[in-house]
Amino acid sequence: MKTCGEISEALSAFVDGEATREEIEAVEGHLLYCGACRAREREMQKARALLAGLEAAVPDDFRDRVFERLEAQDLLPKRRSLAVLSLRWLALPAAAAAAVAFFVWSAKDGSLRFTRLTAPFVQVARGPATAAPAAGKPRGTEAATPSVWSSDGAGLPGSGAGESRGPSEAGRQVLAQYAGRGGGAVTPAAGLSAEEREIVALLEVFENPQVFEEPSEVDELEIFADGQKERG
Amino acid sequence: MKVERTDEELLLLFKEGSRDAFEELFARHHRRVINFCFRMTGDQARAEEAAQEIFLRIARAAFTYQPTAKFTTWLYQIARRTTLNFLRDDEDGFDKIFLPVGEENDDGTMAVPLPGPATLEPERMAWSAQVRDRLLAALQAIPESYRSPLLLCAAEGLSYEEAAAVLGVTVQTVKSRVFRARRMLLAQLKEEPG
Repeated sequence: MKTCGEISEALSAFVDGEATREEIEAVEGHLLYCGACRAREREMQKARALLAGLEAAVPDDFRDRVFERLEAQDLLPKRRSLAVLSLRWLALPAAAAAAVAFFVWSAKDGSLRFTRLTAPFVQVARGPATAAPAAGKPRGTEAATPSVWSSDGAGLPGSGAGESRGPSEAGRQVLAQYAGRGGGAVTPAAGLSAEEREIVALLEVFENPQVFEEPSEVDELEIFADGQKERG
Repeated sequence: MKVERTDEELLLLFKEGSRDAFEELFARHHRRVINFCFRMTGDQARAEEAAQEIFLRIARAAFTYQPTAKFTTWLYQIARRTTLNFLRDDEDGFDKIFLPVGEENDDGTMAVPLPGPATLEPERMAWSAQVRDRLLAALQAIPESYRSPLLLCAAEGLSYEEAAAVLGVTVQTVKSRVFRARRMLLAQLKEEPG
């Protein structure tokens, strides 16, 4: 049977949960009959708890002080500013989503009516007298024209205060004009207004979905660059 | 569902330029770091200073980090080395250190009898500033080479194996030093305050 001195180091490991199987057996056997070592084990456990409970105060500004020093020594990457997330970038998918929603909403029999609607638009748009803006081009690249999306002629889809926007009166008239004709061709001499060309451009997305999938001139990732090259 | 990244993944992300990764590492470990520094130095101001320096060193040394090492092992290695610069121990402090409690004379009798069970009853001691100060003072009386393994294992919760990796010694060395540090600590705590 081991003495108290012989068991003491194993007892310390036992308290830490690090004793080997043989040590555990030896310690547990010794503790059965040695009150002094049982007391010593309790003391070690309590001292361990005291140490674990010994904590520093963490000042409220500790994080700020650390990060101030880190930045002063240029040890942190610059944070990308959310300010560069401009409306212009938001308008691109918002306009496309709005176009989809509009044409699904406005067509009772979406597929057939849509075909009748798109054909003359596309036919006219592809004529030499007109130049439809490329699909996906952010709005605002043309001279200011009444928007087909808002009756007040201002704003972009989704740029309002959350209110639902439908086609403007001008837009409804254009659509009604071609719907009434039942898909008949429009003579090139009639021409298209800027507004009508805009509708055509949006419709071209459905006529030729690949147009929308083609690489945009706008590299969204570039927008997040804040003018400085990031570290790392 | 957000997947929580490991510390090692976060550090690698930081190496690649992610500030958010460093923010997350800081959030996870700043309390642990400042507590370790406090236990090692015994002084709040030194602990804050040391902890700041540790995070600076982590940021500087991140590019050397290899994912083969556990992040906390690496963290504690930096923390220990940094706090060594802030310690107020001096070489003369050995005079203050423990009585050879528990060692046996040649005839098998104890050189100094181990104190009985009534002498240390932490439950009866209010966790007052006095107790805290006594504990800090007792820790400071222990040489750093024994204090570090004791704190890493008993306070920081590292295994002997992890502590051995931090300290660059064997597991048996950790085991032995923890044991001796514990004896020193208990002896210090049981001394009547001067």
